[in-house]
Amino acid sequence: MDTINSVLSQALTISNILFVAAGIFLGYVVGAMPGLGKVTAAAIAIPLTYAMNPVSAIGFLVGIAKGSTAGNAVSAILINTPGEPSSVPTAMDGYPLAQQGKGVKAMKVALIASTFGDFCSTWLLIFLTAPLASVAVQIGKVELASILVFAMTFIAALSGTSLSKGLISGMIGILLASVGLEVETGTQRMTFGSLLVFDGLPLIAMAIGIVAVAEMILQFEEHLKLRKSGESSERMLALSSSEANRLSRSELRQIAPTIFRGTLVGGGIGLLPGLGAAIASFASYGLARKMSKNEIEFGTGNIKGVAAAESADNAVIPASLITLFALGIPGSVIAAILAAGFTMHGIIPGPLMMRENPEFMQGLFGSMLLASVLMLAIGWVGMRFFARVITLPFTFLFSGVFFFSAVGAYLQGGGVFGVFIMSIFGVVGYFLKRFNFSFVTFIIGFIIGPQLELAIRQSLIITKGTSVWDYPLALVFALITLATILRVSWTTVQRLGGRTKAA
Amino acid sequence: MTRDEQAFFALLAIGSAIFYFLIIPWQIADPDWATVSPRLMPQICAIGIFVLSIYKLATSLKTAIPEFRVSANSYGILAICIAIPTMAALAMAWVGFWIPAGIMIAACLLLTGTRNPLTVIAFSAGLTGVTWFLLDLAGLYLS
Repeated sequence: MDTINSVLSQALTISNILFVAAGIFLGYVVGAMPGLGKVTAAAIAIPLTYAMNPVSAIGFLVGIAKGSTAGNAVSAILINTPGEPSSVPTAMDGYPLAQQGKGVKAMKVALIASTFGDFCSTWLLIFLTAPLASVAVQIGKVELASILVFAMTFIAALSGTSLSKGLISGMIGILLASVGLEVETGTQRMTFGSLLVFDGLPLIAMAIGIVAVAEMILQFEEHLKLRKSGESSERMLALSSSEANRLSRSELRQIAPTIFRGTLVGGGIGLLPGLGAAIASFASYGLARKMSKNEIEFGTGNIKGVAAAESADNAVIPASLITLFALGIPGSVIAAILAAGFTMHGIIPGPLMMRENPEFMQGLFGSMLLASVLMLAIGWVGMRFFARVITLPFTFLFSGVFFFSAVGAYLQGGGVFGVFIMSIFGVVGYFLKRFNFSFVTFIIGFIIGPQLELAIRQSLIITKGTSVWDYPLALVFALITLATILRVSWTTVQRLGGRTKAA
Repeated sequence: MTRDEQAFFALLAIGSAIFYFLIIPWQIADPDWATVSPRLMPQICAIGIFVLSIYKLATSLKTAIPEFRVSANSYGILAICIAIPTMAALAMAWVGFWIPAGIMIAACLLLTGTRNPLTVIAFSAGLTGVTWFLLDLAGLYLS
């Protein structure tokens, strides 16, 4: 009870409530814009938190992440344009509902499901972080090296289209993370004599380039294609205020089990690094469809479809932070971006965070719970306003994102140098996305690179003169890593064999 | 896999070889007192990228579809889009952040089809001004 009181007293200060609410509002606006998602929003917003205290700063960023995840449903439902892949199942039933004049009802269902999924998953995070962190602090360096290699392989295997592409992007990330002064000897590594990179490449400027700038360039290409083919990329929308948009109690009772199941699916999938929200929302949608008596109604405007997808989608975010808080391993790209925010405020994510910054952690947990509640309030009150956001012309969106990207890169990337880094990594991100490389693995590789190098370095020193059997846990993780690689390789060989036969 | 993906993997393989044989020995000293060489991690990564790129290239040759996914037009768009913030960054080194940032917004608006001069001026000046004011309130100064 004391802990809960402490959590709430840390979070319920006027300034913190305002920052979290501002984050939710901003996140909702960005999420409602087609093609923009939580990662872009959070990456651009990190430098803006510079002047805030750590609890409010992270609360603001978490608010953005949660708000934009919920906001993605708006464009998915009203114009059939999901901002992120995880909102595709929402559009499957949400858009037909909008066509029937029930767009507002679909948005209400999405909001309720999102809030419930997010709120329950936040509690999961609160209850699991401390026990997991206490186990994690007892993990030795050899075991940590093995776990980090396993995490990278696992994320590479699951977050993209191919394991080898995932591993390549992860290794490029680790290679770039080694730029700067080396920890043990103070040797310069790939600095080319420039003082600007002695502390390494600026993560936030790099992330903004890869995520926001690259995304905008790809969207601009799409915009040009649409213009060429004579289609308009500007969006029209009609919101009826008819009785059909009222959400009745019986309908709420009807969707409650679906939301609950979706939350469990999202929470469970979020726990595993690399799986991500898209898999969770598709799995939850599939499960809801399988368990329904009227399977045929899915895809034609069933509110259960919207509820299933949205509850799972939002439950993933808090759950994916568990590995970051307990082990220091970002389980998703949003966790990686938030890790950059933590570092900027002098907090190193990992198992020691609970011990070294207990007040911060309590404030953070409180802010996350607060964000869930505010998300419902802001989402409900501003529903019609957020629906209007999607009509914003692309030209303003493009210019605005470029401008705020430059502001962020300049603030956190060491001035002009940051803007250059942003531009260079805009090109890198463009090619990563074009050729289906996982930029998630790239960013995670860049973040865990120094930790992995240190763990490998210490392991090499510790293990001199010892046997491999002295480290059973490390051996288990090494074997699982090997099994993952063999399993994926075998599937690829079979697929290639099949294709050759078919040809 | 398309032709330009094959070219990308070939470039990655060549790039990682250049890293391993030229950049790492040139840019990373290997002091005697180091218990573990500072070159170790970059070398592991360079080898890994090289091996995986060659593997991808080799497997793609079996199944390659002879087409380019990325058109020359796409490269042109990419070049223009990246030139805007790069030019702005160059100008920022001389005249500070805000004026080049405002011009960058105007360039982006023109690029994406806005032709009304009033809209271009109002939006770029308005966005720059509001952001400057908010950052100033927060105590963040971009010179």
